[in-house]
Amino acid sequence: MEKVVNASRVFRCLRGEEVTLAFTPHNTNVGVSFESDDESLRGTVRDNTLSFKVEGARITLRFFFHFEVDSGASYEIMLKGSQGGNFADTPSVIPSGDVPPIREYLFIT
Amino acid sequence: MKKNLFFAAASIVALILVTTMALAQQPAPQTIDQEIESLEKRLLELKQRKRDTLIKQVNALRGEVENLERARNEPLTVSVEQPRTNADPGAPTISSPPSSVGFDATGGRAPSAGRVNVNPTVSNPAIGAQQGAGNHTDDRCYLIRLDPGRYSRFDQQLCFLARNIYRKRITENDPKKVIDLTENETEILTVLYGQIALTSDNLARDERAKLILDVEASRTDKQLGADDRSSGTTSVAVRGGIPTILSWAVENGAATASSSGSTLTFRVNPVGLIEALSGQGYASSFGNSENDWFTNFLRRGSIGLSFDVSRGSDIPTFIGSKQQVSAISYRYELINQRDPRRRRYRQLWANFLEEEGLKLMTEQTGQLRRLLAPRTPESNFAAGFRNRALQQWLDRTNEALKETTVAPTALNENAAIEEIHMILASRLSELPINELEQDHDFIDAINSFVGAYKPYLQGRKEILDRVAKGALVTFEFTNYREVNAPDVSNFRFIAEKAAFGKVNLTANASLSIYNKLPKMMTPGGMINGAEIKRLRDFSFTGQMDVPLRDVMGLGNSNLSFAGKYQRLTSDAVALDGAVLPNTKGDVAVGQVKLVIPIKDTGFKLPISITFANRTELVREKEVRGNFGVTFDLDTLFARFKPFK
Repeated sequence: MEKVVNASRVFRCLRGEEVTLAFTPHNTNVGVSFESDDESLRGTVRDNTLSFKVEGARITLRFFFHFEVDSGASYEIMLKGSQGGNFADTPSVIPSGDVPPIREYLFIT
Repeated sequence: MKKNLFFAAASIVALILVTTMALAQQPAPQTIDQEIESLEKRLLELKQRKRDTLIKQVNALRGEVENLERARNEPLTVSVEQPRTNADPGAPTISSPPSSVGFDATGGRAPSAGRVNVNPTVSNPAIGAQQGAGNHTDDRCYLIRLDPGRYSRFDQQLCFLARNIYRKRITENDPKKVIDLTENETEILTVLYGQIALTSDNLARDERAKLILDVEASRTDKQLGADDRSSGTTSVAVRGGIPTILSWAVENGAATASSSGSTLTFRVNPVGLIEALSGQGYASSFGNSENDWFTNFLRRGSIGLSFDVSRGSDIPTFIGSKQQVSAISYRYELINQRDPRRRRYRQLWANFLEEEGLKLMTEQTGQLRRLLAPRTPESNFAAGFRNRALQQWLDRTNEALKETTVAPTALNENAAIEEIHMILASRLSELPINELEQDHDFIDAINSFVGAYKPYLQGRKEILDRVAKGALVTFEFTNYREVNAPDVSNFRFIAEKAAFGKVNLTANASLSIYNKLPKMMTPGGMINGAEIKRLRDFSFTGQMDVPLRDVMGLGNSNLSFAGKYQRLTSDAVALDGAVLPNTKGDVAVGQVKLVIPIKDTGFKLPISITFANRTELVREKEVRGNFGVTFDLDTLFARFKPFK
C-alpha cells in the first residue's frame, strides 16, 4: 500500500491486499464506527483494529469517532498494508464538541 | 490581556505546586509556624524564578503581537466573491457580541460570529472579519474553546474548524493547510447549515436549526470557595467535588462565623498539577490514572490552603504570609460516580455506539454521498462538493486561508487559531446562499445530515444525565489556624446525590476538636468559670441545589437552599483567645444562595442570605447577606492543553 502523492487520505493498494487500521484511544472508551460508500463494510471497530481486503477498484471508507467527553480525548490512527506501507494519519482525532468527527479514506487499486 | 491572565494563573499554579511539595517534605516534628516559614522561603524563591520566566515570555509575546499587527496592516489582494451582506449593506461595521446565537426581542436571530457583515471594499479577509465584526475581539475562538457549552454548536464548530486547520498545519509543519473535506466534514457541514439557517426563514424555524443555533450548558458539583467555618464564606454546606488541577475563590461577607473578613482559598490536585506541568495534559493524565491504582489513589486527593486576607493588614490584601494562612485541608474522594469515563458506564456507551452511533453514521454517510462529488483521478482524487457554487466558495475560502500571516507554532497557538477563525467567519458572509437554496437536493441532504444529530445527541445526553446523578462521597480533614485562639481540627464527610430532575442533594457531617485545650494556654483550665472540652462541636448540614435556566444570557445560574445544625459542646473561644461565657449550645442556620456565572470568564458570583438563631460567639439572631467571586481553572485548562 502506498499513499497517493498530493492527495488527501488516498492509498493505492494491490488487488486483494489486506489493509489494517489501528486506532489508539486516549481518555475515551466509546469507540469508532465505520461505513463504506457501497455499504459492504459497516459496523463498529472491535479491539481498536479494522482489517479488510481491497478487492474492487476502490473503497471509500468513513470513520465516525465517538467520545464521552467534549474535550480532552483523542484517537491516534495507523494504517498498514499487508504488502507493505505503514502510515500514521495525523493529526489525531479530537472531539468536535458533542458531535462525532469524521475521517474519510479512499483505497484504490 | 488573556495571555497575561494565563501567566498569572500559571504562576499561581506553580506557587501552589511548591506549597504542596513543601508541605509533603516537612519533617514531622516541625511546628506549623516553622512549616509556614519554610514555605514562605520557597514561595519567594519560586516567585523570583517565575518572574524571570514571565518577563521572557511576555517579551516574546510582544514581538509576536507586533508582527501580527504589522502583517494585518499590509493589504492583501484576495478578491471578494459576490459580496453579500446580511443586514444593511451600507453599514461598514455591525457588532457581533460574544454571546451565542439566540432569538432577539423582535423574534429574529441575534447576530453571531458566522454572520459577519463585511465591508465589500476590504480586500484582506482577516481585516474584513475584524472590521465587519465591529467589537468582535480577536479572542472569540479562545473563549469558545474555554467553555464551549456556553455557545451554540454553530459557534463551536466554526471555532473547531479553525482549531483543526491549525492542528493540521502544526502537525504537518505546513502553514498552507486549508479545509480538507476528508477530515473537516462534521465542522464545515454544521457551519454551512447554521449559516443558511441564519438567513433562511424556513430553516430558522426548524427544530434542527435550534439544535445547531441554540445554546446549552452547565456543571455545579465542585466546592470552589471556602467551607462554612472560614471567615467570609458564602457556603453553609460543603460540596464534594475536587478540581482536576486548581481552583481558587475569593469571598466576602460571613455566613456562620461571627466575624466578617475575606478568605482566599486555593485547592489543588497535586497529581493533576504535576502531570499538567509535565505536559501530559488533562486528557492523557486521566487515562493514565484509570489504569494505575496508585496514581488513581493519589488523584482522588486534593490539598487546600485558605488565606484570611484581612489578617495583618488594615485593607484586606493577599500577601501570602503565614499569618494569613487560616486553614490547611486535605480532601479525598471516596466515591465518584460522576465521571462519564468511569468503567461502570462502559456498557452504556457500548450500547449507545451500537444503536445511536450506527444510526447517525448510516444517515450521515448517505447524505455525504449526495453532498460530495465522486473523487476522480482527473482531480487527483480531491474531495469536493457537488454543488458548483459551494465548491467555488470553498476554493476561494481555501485561497483566503492560505494568506494567513501568523505562523502556526505552539507559542502562537491562540493568535493563529483566531486569525483562521476570523477568515472563516468573514468567508461565511460570502456564502452563495441564493444558489444553495435553489439546489433542493443540497438543502434536503444537509437538512438530513444535521437532523441525524438529534437522536444521537439525545441518547448521549441520557447517559450523561445518568452520570450526573451518580453519588459523590468525600472525606475532608481541615486544620484551622487561629491568630490567638487555639487551632482546631475538623473531620468532615460529604455526600452528594442527584434527587429528581437536576436537583442535587448534599449532606455534611462533621466534628471539630481543639488541637490544644485552651486551658493549656491559660493555666488553671477554667477561664472565667467555663470548662472547655476537647471536642469543640459537631454539626449536620443539608443542601439542595437547583440549576436555573439561563435567562440573562450569562450562563446557567444555581439556586441553593441549605440548613445546618451545630452543637457547641462548651463555651466558644473568641479569636483573641478569650472564652465567651454562656455561648455553649445549639446553632441553627438557614441559607438561600444564588450563584451567577460570568459568561466567558470561568468566574462565578455567589450571593447569599443567611439566617441564624445565633452565632457561635453571640447569642443573638442574625440575618446576613454575602457575596463573592469564584474561579475554576479546570475549565480553562481543559481547553488550554486538552490532548497530549
